[in-house]
Amino acid sequence: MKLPFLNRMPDAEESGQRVRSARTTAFVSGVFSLWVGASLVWNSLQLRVANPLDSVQLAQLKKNLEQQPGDESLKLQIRKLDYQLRREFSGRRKMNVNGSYLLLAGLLALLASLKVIENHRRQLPMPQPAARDPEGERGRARLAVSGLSGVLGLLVVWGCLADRPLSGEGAGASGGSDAKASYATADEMKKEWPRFLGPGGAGLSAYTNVPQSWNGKTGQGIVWKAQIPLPGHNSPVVWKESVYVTGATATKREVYCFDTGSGKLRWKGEVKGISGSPTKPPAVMEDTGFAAPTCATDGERVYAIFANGDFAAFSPDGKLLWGKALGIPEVNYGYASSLVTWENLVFVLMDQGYPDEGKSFLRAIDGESGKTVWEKSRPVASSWTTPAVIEVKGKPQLITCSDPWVIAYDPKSGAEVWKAQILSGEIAPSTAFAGGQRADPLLFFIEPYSRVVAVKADGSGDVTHTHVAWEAFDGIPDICTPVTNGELLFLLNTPGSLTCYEANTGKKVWEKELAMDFKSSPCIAGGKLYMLSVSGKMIVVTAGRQFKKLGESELGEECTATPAFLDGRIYLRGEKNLYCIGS
Amino acid sequence: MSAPKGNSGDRREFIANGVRGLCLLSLGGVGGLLLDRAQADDAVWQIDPYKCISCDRCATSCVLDESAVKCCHNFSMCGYCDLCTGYFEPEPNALNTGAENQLCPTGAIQRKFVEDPFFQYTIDEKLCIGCAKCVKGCNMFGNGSLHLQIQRDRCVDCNECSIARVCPSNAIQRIPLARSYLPKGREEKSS
Repeated sequence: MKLPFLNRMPDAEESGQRVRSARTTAFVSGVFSLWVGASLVWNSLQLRVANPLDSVQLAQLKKNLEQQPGDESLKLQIRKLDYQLRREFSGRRKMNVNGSYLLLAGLLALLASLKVIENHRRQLPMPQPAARDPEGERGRARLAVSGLSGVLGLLVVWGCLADRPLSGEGAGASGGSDAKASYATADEMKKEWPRFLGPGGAGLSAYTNVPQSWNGKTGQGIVWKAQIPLPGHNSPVVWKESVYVTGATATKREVYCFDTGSGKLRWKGEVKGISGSPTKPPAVMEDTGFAAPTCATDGERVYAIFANGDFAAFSPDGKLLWGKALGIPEVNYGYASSLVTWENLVFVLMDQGYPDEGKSFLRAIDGESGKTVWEKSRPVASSWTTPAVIEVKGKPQLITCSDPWVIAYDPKSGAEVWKAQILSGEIAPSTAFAGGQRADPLLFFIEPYSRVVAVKADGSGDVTHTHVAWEAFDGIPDICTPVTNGELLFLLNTPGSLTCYEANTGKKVWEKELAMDFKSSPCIAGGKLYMLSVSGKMIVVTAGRQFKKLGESELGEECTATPAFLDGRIYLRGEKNLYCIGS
Repeated sequence: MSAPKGNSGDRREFIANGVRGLCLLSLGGVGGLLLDRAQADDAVWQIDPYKCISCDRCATSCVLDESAVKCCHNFSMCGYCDLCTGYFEPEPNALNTGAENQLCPTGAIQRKFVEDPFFQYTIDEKLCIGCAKCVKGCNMFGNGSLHLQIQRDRCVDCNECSIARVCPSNAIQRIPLARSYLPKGREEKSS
């Protein structure tokens, strides 16, 4: 059945009536909205300026009651006034809420009336038949619909692809995929110094032609020297032609890239404008500063983190790729755990607070996108250590150490592989290991001032009582990470006591007092042990069963960072300058 | 003037409007997708109760008219005291619920007799304005069971919390969403 009024056009009189009533409605709702809005503003101001809960009169009455504690009429007066004030307060609050809805309703009525007026003003179009080209229009419409479908289809495909796991087999450097890997291969890593303590974090250089003597005062053996704009205790990281360091103050955080050939500052990138970055600087000790963590690179990007928890990635040409604020770490002295990369992931170790507070966590972030791939809560206290990725029976393990747990994770998924409750106190030295020379590699952990513990890394579950190979108690460091060549383990403590143990048995081989302070960790290059003192003196000894001093070189500047040992070069950070040692 | 005859114009208009609508929809979809990708990792603002100094700025600095910060009560820490220093004014006239004795300006704490000499104190969240007067009283002389916390159902998760900007003790921090709340008391923390 066809309803006659459906297609009926309103006549002029009817249309005029509608416009008139719409105009009246628009006027009334406009005035109403204005009035409600003004009332809301006035009410909010009243709540802020003369909050009933801050009544001076009530305070005075309560004071009077202290003088006359038995005055019942005064009590009654207080109760009455208190009731009035609370009522006024809650009334104003309610008015704010209800007023908002009224304002919304008024504005909706206003908009609807205006729309009606507008509709009645609109002139019907009078199309010209001659100008029409139905075939062409149909063709264009078909084209538009097809194009739009194509765009929507592409968006759907893109959305599906984007949600695929980023750490998939195909994305890996050795996955056999035709796509370019977004990170360097393990072999490429071994040739560079991509993180704190070099490839893998073992403190071992792949090169044997590392310089042995120089003089910072005369310039002998110094290839170049470059000033670092902002201070920091972090160590240099080297990738091909770039040396990366970071620097920060309470208000400014920067990443620097120096040219390995000339020492020229290629770029500096400021980490700023990070969403959620704390407005107040963290409390740090001068010895730690605002840039203690060493940056890390996967060959495609360089990652940096600072004491306030700001974390960022830069491209090799200095472009800020992404940044995130992890919040100020609750760590005494200041945050100092360095970043570590593995395949497409960057690991952030945030050990803070006490073990039972649940504040500590380990987070794996996809380097390319900055997205969190996995995160694990850690039942540990604050630590200043840096994780290491080792290989055990062909499988990677991410090793972390803190008070009280040493925990090994699967770096791909974050699953716990094994753990041992063996440490206590303020743990700053990181794990030492020789790396892949045994089927059950030994890892060495330091309990500051107390003991060194060797743990076999081939366990699973809680290995506290099953996998501790040996422990020893002499020459234990508090800051410096030990280093091992697989046969011998070298411990260097802050006052300069150097102790050598047999790595497999824990038998002490020799010890020597170097009589100077050390904060930088020792490293091995070309069978030689390099130790950089706080005063800037590099002591080189044979990494062997007898103590034999091979050289001593003065830099002339205080040093707390651990150097990077590359092909014929050492990159060394002083208090204010970056040095390249070589020939 | 008369209306044009035939339906071809209407059809074309319908198709054109449809295409426009689809364009708008797809634009909206792309915008939503980009917004979702641009979102920071899931983290929420919470107060570390052990850092909070009960300064009362939580009540006035929140972007919401009614602050998202409310008082919470850890019953396992509470002493159920008759003379509760979080409930009563200092040196109260009498230990009863008279307005002259109550510390809370909105009467948000309910005092209920349990057994002699114990009383249970419960927070009426609707009335609480987060002024921290009770928290201060409880921490000064009591067990510290009353504490302030940002209520997740109220907080709008501003990118930069306006209370965090003015918090004098840096007590407001971002924590992973999985942890939800930073409660006071070791029992909850270890659970």
